Amino acid sequence: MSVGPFFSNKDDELLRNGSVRDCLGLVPVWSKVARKLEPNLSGAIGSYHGLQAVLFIYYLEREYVPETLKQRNNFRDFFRYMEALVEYYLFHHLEQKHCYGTRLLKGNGPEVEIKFTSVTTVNGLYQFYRGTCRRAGMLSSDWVLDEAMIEIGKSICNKHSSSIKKLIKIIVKKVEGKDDVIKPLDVFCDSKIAELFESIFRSSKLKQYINKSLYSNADLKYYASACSVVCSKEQDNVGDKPLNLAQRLQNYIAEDKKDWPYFSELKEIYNTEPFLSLLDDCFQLLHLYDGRKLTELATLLAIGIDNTISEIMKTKAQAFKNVILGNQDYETGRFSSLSSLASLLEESDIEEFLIGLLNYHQNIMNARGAGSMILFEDGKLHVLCEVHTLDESTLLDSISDESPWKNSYYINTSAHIYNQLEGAR
Amino acid sequence: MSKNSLVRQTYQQLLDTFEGGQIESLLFTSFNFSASFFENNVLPMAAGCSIKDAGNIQAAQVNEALVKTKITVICDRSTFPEPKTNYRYGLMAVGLKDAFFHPKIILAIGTLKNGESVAELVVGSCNLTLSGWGLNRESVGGCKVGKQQADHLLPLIQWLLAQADAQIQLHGIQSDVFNEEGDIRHNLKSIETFLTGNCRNEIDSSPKFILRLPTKDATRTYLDLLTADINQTVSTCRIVSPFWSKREALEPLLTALSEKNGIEHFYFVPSVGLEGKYCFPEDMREYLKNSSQNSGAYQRFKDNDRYTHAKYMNLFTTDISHCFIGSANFTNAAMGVMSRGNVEAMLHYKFKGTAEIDRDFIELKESDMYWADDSEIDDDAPSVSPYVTHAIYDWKSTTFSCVLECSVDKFKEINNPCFNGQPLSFENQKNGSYKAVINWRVKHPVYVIEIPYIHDTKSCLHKGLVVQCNAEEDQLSYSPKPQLSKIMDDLIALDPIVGPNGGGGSKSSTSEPAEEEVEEGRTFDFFSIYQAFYKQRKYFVNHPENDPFRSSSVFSLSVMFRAITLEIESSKNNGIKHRNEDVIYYFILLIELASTAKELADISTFESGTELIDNIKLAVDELTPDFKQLMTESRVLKQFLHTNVVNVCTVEAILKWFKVQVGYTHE
Repeated sequence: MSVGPFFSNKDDELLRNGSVRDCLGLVPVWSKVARKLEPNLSGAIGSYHGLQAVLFIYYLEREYVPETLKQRNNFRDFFRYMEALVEYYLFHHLEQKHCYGTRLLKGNGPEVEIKFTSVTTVNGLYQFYRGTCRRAGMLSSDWVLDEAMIEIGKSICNKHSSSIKKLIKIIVKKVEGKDDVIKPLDVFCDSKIAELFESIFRSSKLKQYINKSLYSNADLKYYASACSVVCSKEQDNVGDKPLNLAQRLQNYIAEDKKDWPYFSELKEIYNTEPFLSLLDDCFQLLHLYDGRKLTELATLLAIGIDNTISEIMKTKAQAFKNVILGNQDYETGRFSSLSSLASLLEESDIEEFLIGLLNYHQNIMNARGAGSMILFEDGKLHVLCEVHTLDESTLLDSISDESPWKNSYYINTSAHIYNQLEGAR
Repeated sequence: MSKNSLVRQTYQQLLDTFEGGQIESLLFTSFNFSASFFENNVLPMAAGCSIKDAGNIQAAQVNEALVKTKITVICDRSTFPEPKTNYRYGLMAVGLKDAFFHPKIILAIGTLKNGESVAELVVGSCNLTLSGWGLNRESVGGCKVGKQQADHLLPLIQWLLAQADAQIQLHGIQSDVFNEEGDIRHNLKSIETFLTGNCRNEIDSSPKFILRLPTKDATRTYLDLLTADINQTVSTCRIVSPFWSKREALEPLLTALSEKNGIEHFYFVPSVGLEGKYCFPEDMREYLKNSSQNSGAYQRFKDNDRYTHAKYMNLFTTDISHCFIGSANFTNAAMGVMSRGNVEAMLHYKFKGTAEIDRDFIELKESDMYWADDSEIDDDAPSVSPYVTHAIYDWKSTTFSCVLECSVDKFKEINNPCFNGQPLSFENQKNGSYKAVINWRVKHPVYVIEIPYIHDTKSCLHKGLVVQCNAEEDQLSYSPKPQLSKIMDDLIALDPIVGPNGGGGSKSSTSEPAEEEVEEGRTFDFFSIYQAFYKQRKYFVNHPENDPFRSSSVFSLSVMFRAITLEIESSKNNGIKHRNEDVIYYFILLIELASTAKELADISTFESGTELIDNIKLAVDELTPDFKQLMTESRVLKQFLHTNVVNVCTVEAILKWFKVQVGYTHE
């Protein structure tokens, strides 16, 4: 071998990385805190009709779908066709909002063809709505339909059995023919099939059943109603500072129902969120400092805005530590790692905190079999995977904000679904 | 002259030289060291993986492929190198008093396809970091090792061996009962023996390798040593360096060079720092303004898109261009007298006429340049820790031992040192150092020791590496459990025609955590299973150069089988009874794996996967009774067959039909 000499170029192959969701692994953290108040709904749920659809599909599976369609991945295919038909029906017939995603309907007229191998595929019902049905007990852990639901299904579907058979026949033909395209307009040309769908989605019995299953605990039902009220009201302020959703809920419930037994759970949300938001802000700032020294960022945060930023960071860390201290619900590895990060801020060591945040992120990514999005080498930061970041002043403002709100804690979803099932309070 | 433009290409070229043969030893030296960069990019390539595949290969696969290649990495301890993880190689940090271990070389020794024993060498300015290999402009070269190169490499290898021995002796352990991770001393000894015994012929076409290792010689500079061969008058000298000493040190060096070779003109190519300012000492700028070498004294690269970390010196005579590339900055520690200063490594090339590397420079006017103040210039020297630690963990005796070197005052600043949560009590030794020994059983290797200390009321932390010794492979986690879910996710994300889209740098995965990262339990998503196997088959059909049965191959069937069996064994060992879903899931998975193996064995040009297929069949046989039991009890099957009892014969018949359908058996 005889090589060179040469001056090296940049090597992009060494830098490539895929897109990453929740790169700090904070979703399971806020989710665990929020599940105490919203035990059932998935954050991705936009319409209770999706829950009706899932129950309908499982009812068909139990009562009508031939065994061939239950074999191997045929049921998944059956589910796909049904998802496509449900989304189409809600949008074009009932003129309702879609359940999940807009790719199918956006920009496509009633003649749209849904192809499972292209962008028109839809799978939100399978991915998110099923889990909600299971958490609420409408489906068992083995995806078996609840007895009460079977009775409701019978009462709705028995009179449409011939339409159901026609529908199933269409889908069986498609599944067995390995046809991955369906044109819902052709299916709903049959008015009897359209009537079947109408009976499902307009069924008050089914709606009541879902309502009862989601809100079996009266105090948590009250919480959903409070979410509905607070989300519909205008922004509250204390002085010129806006309150976040959890604080507004706290204020509202404290006035409306003093004996509500879940105040401490709500407090956990508003003490957790500022720290989780802070982690996200700091991680975005680390991205902005690509190619620069970490100490520059540490100095900026340490002395920023008359030294107030570091104090606010410390306060957020302390509040978070108070939530998890001695709380057995949060004795997990993830919470423990975050607690260590919070301790670094309590000790006012911002540089160590930022390094800790990078290590924490690396551990999260390694556990997923992936690598860090930011490398820390020779004291400098190197971004391997670009993410959307806000500008520096916006991020510093967000860090300075004592009541930021970035994660949902299912509050908007709770309000939304409660409004649909009960009407807005 | 090579057309290479990437450090990685040169490294790949070095590895390719041994294709069909065997690399016995690889030695990497660097000032800084990034373990994550090295383990995710450099090691997979040594394991025969392309950079495109590097993101998808598992640690166990890399480790298996490197069984026959000893790999040693040496770096400078003052840079606080990132601790290694569960990859098969040895890492040693060394230090010099008031100087740095700074050479950046890759040395490979082994056997070529034709049986010839050779050593190949890459020398550059690039550290084993992402910046060094992927971001900066660096200077790089490489050559076959002949007598000249071997004679200059040997003192380095011997010095490193002495360092490795000294680190063990500090702990008062007999070196023959000490087996450190990566067999560092054994590897260095093998390299020494190889260089002494094999590289005895001069190779004219290779550049000269010139080592700088501090000696007792206080009369000679490294610059003298580098330019010793140049006896003609030099018209022009160009120096590219990111770091420069001040005038007090540089002026004598430049004057000596100028007087010796009659240099008429110097070009200085300083680097541009983060703020877009040129980094060159202020007093040197003043000196050049007032000296006879002021005309056109500065140059820059035409393409100014990246930070220049290259170190390069070029001397032009009437017909020869002398090019020096490597680790030495134009500083006193690198170019100055040999009795002190850094360890450095450079290559000396000679070209008739102008070398290609000398194009692409633009002259600059001093007055047009935006200069960094001396205080803003990063001198590449890490802040020196007041502590030096030499720590080992002996897996046989479960003993941790740490020797600490520091001043008495600094010792007093230490605050609650511990190892893996266990407090350490340091005791003063006769030679002034401190030593702590504890007996403590660890579950996994702990590669770093942290010494907290208080300096000026501020909490600080010193971090040092911990050498693992007398450990078994499983204790070092060289064969971590391959994750079935990760393999399936990667397969589903795979474009079987294009191949993996991962790249190195940072292992990529398009798989994302499920919402809330809460496991939904086993779901019957057979669509994904079959999709994964379909892609696996299609990938190997489209990439016949990859052996589907070799465990070091990306998407290897052997690794997949291991992942499945380990998952099954793990639940058995934990006393967890398989749920019905699990039995069905593993049964289907194994059947489909066997079908895939058979299909690929039929078309693969590699050794057949008979052994693997037999092993899969054994695993299937083991699950079959449970699976049959489930079939006889299946409500769905009873409905389907319109019967209340599904007998054994029916089950056998259905199962036979199923196996034929999926290609597990043939009619």
